[in-house]
Amino acid sequence: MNIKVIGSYIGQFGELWDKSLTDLIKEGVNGVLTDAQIFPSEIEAIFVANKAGGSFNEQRHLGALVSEQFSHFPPAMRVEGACASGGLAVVTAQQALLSGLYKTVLVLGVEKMTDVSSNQASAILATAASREKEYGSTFPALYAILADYHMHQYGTTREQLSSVVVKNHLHAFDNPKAQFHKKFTLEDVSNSAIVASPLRLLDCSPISDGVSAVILSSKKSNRKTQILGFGHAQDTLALQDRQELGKLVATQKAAKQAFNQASLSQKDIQAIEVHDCFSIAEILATEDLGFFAKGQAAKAIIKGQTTYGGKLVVNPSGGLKACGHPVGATGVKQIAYLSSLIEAGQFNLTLAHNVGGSGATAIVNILGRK
Amino acid sequence: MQITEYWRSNKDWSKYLGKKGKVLSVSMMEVSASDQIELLPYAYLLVELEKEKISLMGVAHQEFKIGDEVEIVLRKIKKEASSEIICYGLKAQHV
Repeated sequence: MNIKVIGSYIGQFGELWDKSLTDLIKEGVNGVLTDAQIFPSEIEAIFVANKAGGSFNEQRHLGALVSEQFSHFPPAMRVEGACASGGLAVVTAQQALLSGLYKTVLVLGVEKMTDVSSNQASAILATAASREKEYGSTFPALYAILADYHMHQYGTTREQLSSVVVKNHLHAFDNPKAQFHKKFTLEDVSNSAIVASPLRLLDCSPISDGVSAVILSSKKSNRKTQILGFGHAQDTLALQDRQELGKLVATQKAAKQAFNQASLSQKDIQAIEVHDCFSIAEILATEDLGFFAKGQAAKAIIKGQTTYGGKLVVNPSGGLKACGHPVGATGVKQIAYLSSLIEAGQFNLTLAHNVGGSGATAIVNILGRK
Repeated sequence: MQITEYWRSNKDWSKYLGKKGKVLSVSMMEVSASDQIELLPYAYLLVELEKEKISLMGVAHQEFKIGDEVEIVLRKIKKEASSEIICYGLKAQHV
């Protein structure tokens, strides 16, 4: 593979009431072109990651909305894979580059979620679950089912769940675009209001607005960040149809593909951005990606093994939990953020992990410079 | 829930009613989507039946934990508005 990230941009994540969906798109396009220092006419195709613009903003046809920001109207398509829309758009763009059809493409992830009430947002987000088989559930409920099982099976504790949140909120202080710059203690998290037991308010990632974008190219570039491998796997939409509840099999499969393609192993990786939509999701991710044995991640996290000075740094951006989770933007933000750390010389080999639904879609990208 | 979706789901009820199983995992919900807000708090369960698993709400006023024996019954699954049909569906209750 010879695909480089030649430009990246992350907008401010948060409750951006003064910005529309179109404002965010314009910001993302201008920001990433400025960073890449290329002419707009060099963009040959566009992949737009967005989960639910049709529901949140009553705006569909987002490919055309992004394409019209360019005077040459490059071909554009929207890619949707629930919360993995961003990662899926990055993979789709890579496939287009690998086919040889294009040499330089834009991937833009965007979601404008705060124009509806939190109840409406919950209902829209829940459409990524199985409507036929998971009636009465919400996303917190599905991850609560996974958390309850993990706690029962592996002895994961309330305090260990809270330690994920405390760490990610500390990491977010290094990320000026993060939605939250607020420190929490283990007690703050463990005593916050219950949403769906055992998950509490501070275990949950927020509802956010935001845009992120990367430009990928197979042309020669003096940028350092290369995509070394990617993986994409699926599982059943409904939890009830899974053989095993203690792991997300799609994550395991996607990681295996990515590591094989990159000819690397877990011990080579220095930093990872994982899909911590809920605290339990980071524990599952670090186990299923192969960085910790099953049942060991939570113990390692609370001992500081997943922050600076530990075994590897998990969610240096603050993750979905503290950086925010504008759904379609998240997977693209992971690539953009890791790319910025690699360009700055902070890390050489990194991994991004993006999940859709309660594990029905998983995307893994390995980025670095060899 | 759309009325057409509700009508289609009715056809599966007889396959499950009266079946017994064991709770595999449970969450007590304090926040929910609009259809269930008036039923809060309620339990959401993953139950292992003889040959398959099923996800469903627990009946009102019962608490559940992993390993509990439950049976599937028919109960109201949302609070209806004055001009809506009354929605029944599958729920789990202690044996």
